[in-house]
Amino acid sequence: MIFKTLFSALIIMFSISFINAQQIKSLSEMAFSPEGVLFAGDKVSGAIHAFDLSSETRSTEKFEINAYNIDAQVAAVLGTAPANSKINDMVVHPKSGEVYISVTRGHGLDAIPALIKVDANSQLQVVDLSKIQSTSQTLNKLPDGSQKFVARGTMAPPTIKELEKAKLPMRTLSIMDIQYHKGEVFVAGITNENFCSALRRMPYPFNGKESISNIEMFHIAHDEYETRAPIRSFVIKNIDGKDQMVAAYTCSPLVLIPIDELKAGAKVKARTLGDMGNGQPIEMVAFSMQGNDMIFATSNSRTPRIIPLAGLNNAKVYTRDDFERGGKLDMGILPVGPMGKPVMFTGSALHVDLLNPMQFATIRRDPETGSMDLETVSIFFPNKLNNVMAEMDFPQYVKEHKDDKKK
Amino acid sequence: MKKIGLVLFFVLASISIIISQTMKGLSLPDQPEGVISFDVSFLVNENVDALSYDFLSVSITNGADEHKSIIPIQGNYSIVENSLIFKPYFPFDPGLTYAVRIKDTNTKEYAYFPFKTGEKAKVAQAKLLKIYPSGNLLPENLLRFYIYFQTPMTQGQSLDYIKLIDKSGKIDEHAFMQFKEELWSSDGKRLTLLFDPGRIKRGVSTNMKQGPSLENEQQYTLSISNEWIDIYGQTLGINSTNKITISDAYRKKMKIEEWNITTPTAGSKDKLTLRFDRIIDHALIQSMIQIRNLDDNLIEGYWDILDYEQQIKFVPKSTWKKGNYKIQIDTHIEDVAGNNLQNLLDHPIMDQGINDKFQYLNFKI
Repeated sequence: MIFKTLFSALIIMFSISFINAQQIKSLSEMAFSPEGVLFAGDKVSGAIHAFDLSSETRSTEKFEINAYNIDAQVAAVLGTAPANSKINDMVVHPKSGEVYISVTRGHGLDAIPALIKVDANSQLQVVDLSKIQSTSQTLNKLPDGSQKFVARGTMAPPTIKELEKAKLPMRTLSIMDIQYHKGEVFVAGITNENFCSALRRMPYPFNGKESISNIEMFHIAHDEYETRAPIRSFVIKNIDGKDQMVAAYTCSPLVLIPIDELKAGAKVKARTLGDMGNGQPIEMVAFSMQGNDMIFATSNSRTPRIIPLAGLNNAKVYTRDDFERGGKLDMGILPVGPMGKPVMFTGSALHVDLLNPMQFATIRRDPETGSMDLETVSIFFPNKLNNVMAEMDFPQYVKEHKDDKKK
Repeated sequence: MKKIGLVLFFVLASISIIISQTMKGLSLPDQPEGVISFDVSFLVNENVDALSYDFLSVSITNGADEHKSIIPIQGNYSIVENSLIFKPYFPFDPGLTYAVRIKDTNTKEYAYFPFKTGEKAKVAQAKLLKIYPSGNLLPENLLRFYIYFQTPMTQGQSLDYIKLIDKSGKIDEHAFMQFKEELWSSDGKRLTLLFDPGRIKRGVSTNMKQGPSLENEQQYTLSISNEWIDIYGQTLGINSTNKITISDAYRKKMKIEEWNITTPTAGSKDKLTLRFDRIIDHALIQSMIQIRNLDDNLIEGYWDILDYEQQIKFVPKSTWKKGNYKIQIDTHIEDVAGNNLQNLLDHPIMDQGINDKFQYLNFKI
């Protein structure tokens, strides 16, 4: 006998989860579309939110943004202490040139998301999210809060910090980076599966559809084919004649993934083009210098690298057959492949985006004071000189060179 | 009001604003969610709508001269009656010292008024409040339990804490539906626990393989562990063991003709009683059963749910008037086995049932 299926319970279930996911519970990784729609990851409610900021316009043609002790300033406008607010990401509005910072105010259950804009006068403004039109896309197959990591203790018994790291829920890696590309939002992160490294793609405007592919890659430094650790950062560029994702992993291979292979349920094998050396990538920004397309790649363990895209075209794809067995270190053969070169950058680059064709906006940690500063630097020489004292800072030098000029 | 404003203006103009811990018209928050309110009726000559951070601002202070180079906390300004209200975008943190800075519009000098807010309201204790259906004698094809808690519970692992145990002590691990997303109310305080419908519906493979979750004339315990924690980390504290006995399945269509009405007398505020022939899903009663007069006007009041959801009593807001009435019942109303007035939960697909949105029981007072 045929029986009618009970759908009502399922419908109720989905509507409940849909409503919950619409709530903005956290804001972390962000990306802008060229039109000025801000996409932000929400690992707590498990969604990508899209804020329509497309009506924002440029008030001043050229400007620099320099906001020192940005963490303290952010805390102050949010009415809390710096230890009680955390900067998660920073992006530049493509039309207004203003800087947007995603923040978590408070800890644990009391945490509230905040979005802050730094304007052309380097003034902070809290963005009232209730006044901005937004839509959301729920992400499927997210790890729940119960899955945790392990304390490795590879070289010695795990330290207190390593034990704390192991207590993190896997969900903290669910959204690692977001990019908008030709009407779609791409999200790197993990799912709740064993083969969990994933790329999600969804059309924008959101229509509830999300396609998830799992990504395998050969890791030069680890000498492993890996399927779990997620892509930390990526950009989408035309390489070898087609749109491809240039993606960076921890420790720090760089791979190519053709966009057209990212189909729902696909297990995609990424092409490993090299390894930037041990460390953990933070962000990659595409830019162009003297007509050459480049990537500015930051790391939590190394000075930033500038990688010319030309070197990634027709590049050798590395496999396990290309190396002797065993892990690879900076002390050994790393870096490998067309990974460009490291550039001077005083302090640690935490966040970076292109402010205009000639300058990056960066949030960086000052090497002397430890202060966190939002600063504008040139793409040619991404530095401020307040931390270096050189020959040219001596008055005699300046005088001599003035005299030279007179001659 | 204008006159009072003028008087205040002259009083305040003659003595420049005094800098002190308290200030007339200034009200400081004592709760994290509080606002700053300042009576600005003395500013008769000012455009109060233009007032903002420079006139009144709030910032974190460490006392002393710290507030000289303040960064104002951001939020919304509004004028309510004669007061300027500042509400920050985010609540104040208990333990931090804040200061309100107000500009004297005459001298252009600033005055500072420090304050701290109290702790947030204490979170209520985690507690299991109630399980529906509330009776102990339930039909074999019971569809769901509703479990109510005092505080929002942690989600996603409910079935680690909720067990259906038979008389011999055996736990039925597959009694309930396992959804990836559990059925929680938006406030996180009510869990809807569905029995696997495949084990209730006749002829479905899981029913035939595993048998029904509940068997007639048997006793079961719905056990809820005291170790379950709410979102604040508090455990429930007490193990709950709800014992139930199983009776015949509800396999007959629900018919309103089998319900009994006891009518109140005109001019009284007596309750009207509606007795069902079975246990009705409590969650749907208030919204799906209404009383209307013959002009289709809603009679205001609410239903008291009694006798383990087998009887409801309507408490009217006003006294009953003489006349004809009808009880309007949404045909989607369900008994605890998920059967509604349109059809049985596991009706054959050919049986179209009833399609009317409402059915009516008429009565006269």
